[in-house]
Amino acid sequence: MTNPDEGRLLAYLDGELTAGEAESVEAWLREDDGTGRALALEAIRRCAATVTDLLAHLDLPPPTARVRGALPRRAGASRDGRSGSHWLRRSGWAQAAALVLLFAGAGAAAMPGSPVRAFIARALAGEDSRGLVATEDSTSPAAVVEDVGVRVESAAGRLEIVLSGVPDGTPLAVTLVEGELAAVYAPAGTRFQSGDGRIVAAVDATASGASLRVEIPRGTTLASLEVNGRMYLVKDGDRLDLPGPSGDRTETEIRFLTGL
Amino acid sequence: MCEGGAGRLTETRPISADLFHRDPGTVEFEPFFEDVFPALFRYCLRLTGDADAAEDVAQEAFVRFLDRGIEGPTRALRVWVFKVATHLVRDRYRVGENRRRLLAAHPVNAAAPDDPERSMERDEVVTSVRSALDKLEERDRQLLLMREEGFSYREMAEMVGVKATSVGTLLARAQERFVDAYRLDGAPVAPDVGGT
Repeated sequence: MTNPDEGRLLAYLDGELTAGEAESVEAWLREDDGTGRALALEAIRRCAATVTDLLAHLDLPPPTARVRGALPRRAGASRDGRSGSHWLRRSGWAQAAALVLLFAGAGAAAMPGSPVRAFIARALAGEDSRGLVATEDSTSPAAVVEDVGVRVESAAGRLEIVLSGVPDGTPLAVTLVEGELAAVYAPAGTRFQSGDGRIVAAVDATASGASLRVEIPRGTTLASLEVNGRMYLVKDGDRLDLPGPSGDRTETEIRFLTGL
Repeated sequence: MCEGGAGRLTETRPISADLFHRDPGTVEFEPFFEDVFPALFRYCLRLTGDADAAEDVAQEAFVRFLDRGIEGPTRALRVWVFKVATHLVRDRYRVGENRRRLLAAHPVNAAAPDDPERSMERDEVVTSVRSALDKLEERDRQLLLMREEGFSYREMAEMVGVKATSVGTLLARAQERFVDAYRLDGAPVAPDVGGT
């Protein structure tokens, strides 16, 4: 056979040749005429190994957990089991929910001191024209239209969440969740920073009327939630302290209205 | 405040909340991500020389993956995210000039500097390796790095736009040029690197 070039020899070493091509290279190696064919192959193998070793010096640990926390996760059957068609079907529910919200909002607006009333007053005064949001259902504030979110893992069981710029009267739901990821969902325009066990979110000041949602892993040893410089929640083991405004509390969720 | 939350904070681009609950397709996303992300980050880091850029690009590639609902066999999906990342690096980070600028501003250590002398040696090796990578043409650099991530010649050919039958030759020459450039640079002998 004709002498295989270095590319063919590398392909041989990389297992990229067909069985017939590989046999041909092996036959060529066996017919060594004293020109060092085996040495030529060995030189290519060592060159490839050197490249691998040198490139490894550039490596740093991948920020897998941090990026995974910021990425969408596969829809879990336990959560909603949605498929595309589910989303389409749910759009009807979304419309119905919007109508319910409209009526509920009208009712709430009639109540003195109601945050909805305050919001409508601001909207009428021209301060805000984008606060009305529709949720798909009342148990899923995370699905608020135009919401964005960031997730992180706790750091050695510790977690710190700091929210700032939150307009007074903003609904804030804190949920204890299974798993290891903490999350903050907020209106689009919110600026996020994150690090090991920390999420800092500066809420868009024009987002009044929107809602916020925080998810804290149930297994977190020590977690804190601060809103506009005021501590709202401290989780120490299984104990939950709410030093800030009182919230409606169920087994898995605490709902606040900020600033109240 | 938690005493343990003193980690470095970085600007984090949020994701549409809808996407957190989206089914990305036929592949189980979490295992796919766990498997591919470290390799993609490593590839981008080697390509850009900048950890922040590498993280940004690798994340963006996965966001596009989810956003577009890409489906197919795992192997093809892996090629897809690497291809997207390669284009993002090419478009955003202008590899050569950026790497030199970033390297000058933020020399990257491969590990924590426990011993100053050893750390200095390591920095020299890293600088020389980057310099040698810079000397390669973009296509050769990509081929070299893709081979390290275990892509087949056919996949590499698809990603850089050459014939699969040319990949072996291009790779062998790129490897030789890279090692020669490293040595011609007067680089220190990396402790775990054999000679050719």
